[in-house]
Amino acid sequence: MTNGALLKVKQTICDHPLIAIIVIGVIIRLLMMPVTLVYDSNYWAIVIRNMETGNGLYKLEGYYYTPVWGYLLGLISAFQSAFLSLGEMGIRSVEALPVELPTMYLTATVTSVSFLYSIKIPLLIVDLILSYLMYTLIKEVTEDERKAVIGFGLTFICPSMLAATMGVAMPDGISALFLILTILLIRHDQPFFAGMCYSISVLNKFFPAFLFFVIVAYMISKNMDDRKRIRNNLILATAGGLLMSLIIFLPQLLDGDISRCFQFLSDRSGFGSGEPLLESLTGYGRLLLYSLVIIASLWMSYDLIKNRSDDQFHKFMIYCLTVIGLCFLYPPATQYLVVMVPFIVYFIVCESGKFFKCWLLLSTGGFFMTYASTGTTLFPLAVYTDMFSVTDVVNFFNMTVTEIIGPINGFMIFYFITAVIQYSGIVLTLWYIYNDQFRKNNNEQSSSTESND
Amino acid sequence: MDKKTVPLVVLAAVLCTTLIVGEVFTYAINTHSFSINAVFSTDTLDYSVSSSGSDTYSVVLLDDNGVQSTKELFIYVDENYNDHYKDALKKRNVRYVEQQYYSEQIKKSLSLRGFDNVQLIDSKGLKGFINDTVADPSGKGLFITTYALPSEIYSGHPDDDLLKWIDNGGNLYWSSSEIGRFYTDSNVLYEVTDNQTLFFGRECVNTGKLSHATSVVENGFKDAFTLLNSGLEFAIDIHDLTDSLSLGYCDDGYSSISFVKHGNGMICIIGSMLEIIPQLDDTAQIIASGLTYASEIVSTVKGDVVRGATSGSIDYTASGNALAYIYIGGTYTVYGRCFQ
Repeated sequence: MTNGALLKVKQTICDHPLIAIIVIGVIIRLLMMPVTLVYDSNYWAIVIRNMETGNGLYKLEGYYYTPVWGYLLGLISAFQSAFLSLGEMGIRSVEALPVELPTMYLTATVTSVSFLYSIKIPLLIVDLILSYLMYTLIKEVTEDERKAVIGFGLTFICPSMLAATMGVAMPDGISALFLILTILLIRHDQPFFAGMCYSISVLNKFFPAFLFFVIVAYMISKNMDDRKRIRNNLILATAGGLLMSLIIFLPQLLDGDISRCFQFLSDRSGFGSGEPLLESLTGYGRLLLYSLVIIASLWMSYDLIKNRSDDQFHKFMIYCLTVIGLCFLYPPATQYLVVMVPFIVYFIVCESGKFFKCWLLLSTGGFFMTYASTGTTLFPLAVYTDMFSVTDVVNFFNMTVTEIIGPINGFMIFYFITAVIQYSGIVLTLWYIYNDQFRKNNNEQSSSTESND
Repeated sequence: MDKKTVPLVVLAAVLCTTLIVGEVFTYAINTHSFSINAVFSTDTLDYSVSSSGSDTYSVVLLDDNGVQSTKELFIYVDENYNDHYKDALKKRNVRYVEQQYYSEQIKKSLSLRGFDNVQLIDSKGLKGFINDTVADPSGKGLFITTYALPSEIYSGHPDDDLLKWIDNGGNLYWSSSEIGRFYTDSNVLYEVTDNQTLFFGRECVNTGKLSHATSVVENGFKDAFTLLNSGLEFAIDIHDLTDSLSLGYCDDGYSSISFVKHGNGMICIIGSMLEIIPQLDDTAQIIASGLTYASEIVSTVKGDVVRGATSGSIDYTASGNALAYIYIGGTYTVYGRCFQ
């Protein structure tokens, strides 16, 4: 490439940084799409198969979540059927059988590269819309285009997001998208649509549910002087939420199998039949933590209404990040953190650059944690291309699980270190908030009391 | 509504509508349709396959060697499963099975492969079924996923009704526990020690720690039927057992699916593992396709069908009756039919 062309590229990037970030983010995602943990994508293929047989989401075994992501898979399936020629969605690789460990979410059923692209491109669009919403929100709050572009970039090229949507093919980005859209719609006094979006956010992945009281409190505190408006807004938001929930659950209500939509709650809590004691204990631990988070969110809601700040939205965002951060004190999988990322990005750009450390820890930890079993993420490329053989991938994986110190192997060490890095990102976020907001406020209150004395 | 609000509302409306359209495609409008036809003429099979989407299909032409397959399946739903599960688990390894749910899943998996002659029966129904059909059970199959049978039909003796039923031509399918290890009498669990010898004439069930297969039984059945289940818990080793067939995946002599002749009937053992979907799919494939210990693959054809129909023919010679099992979807089978 000539110097002139390079200069032109540089100039284009400077003139249109948003487009440059989009292009870079899209290229990274397109390259990452075939490198994936096939366990979940195999399940998405099973769900599509079940739908194609006319059994909806729950009549045949394979789908354990609430229906939102399932409906998007339904749309993808209809599109595949009408326009694409994907052939068999995946195959069982005999060479990969030695590493098939369902307890570690490893399977020898490898989904095809074309299938992976077909389900991940919609997730790419989700990430793009989410990033654009962050751009809109930040621009609105700061009225600074540069900050908005940074916010867009930190969301769209966040390694945690890349790992969750491209590495695991998990739809947590949908929850984050609808949550940020909810917040924007509340800011713009559109409670009905906000209610609809919030219900989708919660019914895709449950973590945004913990923000319920904080969101309601913000809606109340926003119009404290106009009770009629508060009442109308809450009625409209509730109507929107209920309507959307009803639409989402309508097929299951008619079929009488609504309980299957919430199967993941009992599966993940550790209270199933014959669960070992340790799993039951962790289940109780999680339940206890979530109860405490709800109590904390109730207190924050009360504080939002009672002690209004000059910048009430800023206070609301602090409480959102706090509640989500507290939920993740129970160590989360990387994809869950996708809901937290936009709030951290908001604070990096709107509050303090020091939150970038939290973003960095979450990103590096989460990204490498997801790819800890690097070998198995290469299965689609090994099976469907000639880049390398499945046996090479299996050998590499076996090398990573060779015991180094007693029963501890390299994979465990790597996984543990990356999990600690990711977790320290959560703890550091909460520490910053506590230090900057709660402790500062207490100090200010006590000093003002002293000066009054 | 101000200018900045409009795009947000439009975006929210578009996204909500997208979700609803997806819901409509998932439940209200089934855009997927499949059909399969096959006709046997003298030593030739003519088949046609159609799909509204893009799919792979497989045609498996089998020779039954004169052995009748299962035409009617009864699945035993043990209503007392949870009563003795923990007791049984203390004595032997048992894979927990939600009886009603699992049985319904088998029924649905069979249905999409065109096998609709399935009934779910409780313990009373099981006793009645065995009593009514013990004289001539040919063409009937019984699927057991529980670890213990009621003493009225099985108590660990060669002259038990269940064993007579198999001897007279019944087909027993067993998974998720060691075959015949327990029975219940007056709500008490009893253990049978020579159960394996009773069913197979020798000890051959995998009751050890081996849980997963790492290789394939090299007889073509795994590829022909796109078998998925690599679980080897409670699987059997059929070496030295005459009139038997193993297929699917294997390790250390045990195979994920085994058929063994027993009197005039047969026993089929399906290995288990943590994930049940591969087990459900394989069970449905082998029953819907009419496999027995005597089945032989005559010919297989694989191909793709894209938004339309395709057809073909296979010339063959068979010593017994020829039957064709054709299915669409491969690893993720969506439709199947058996022709005789």
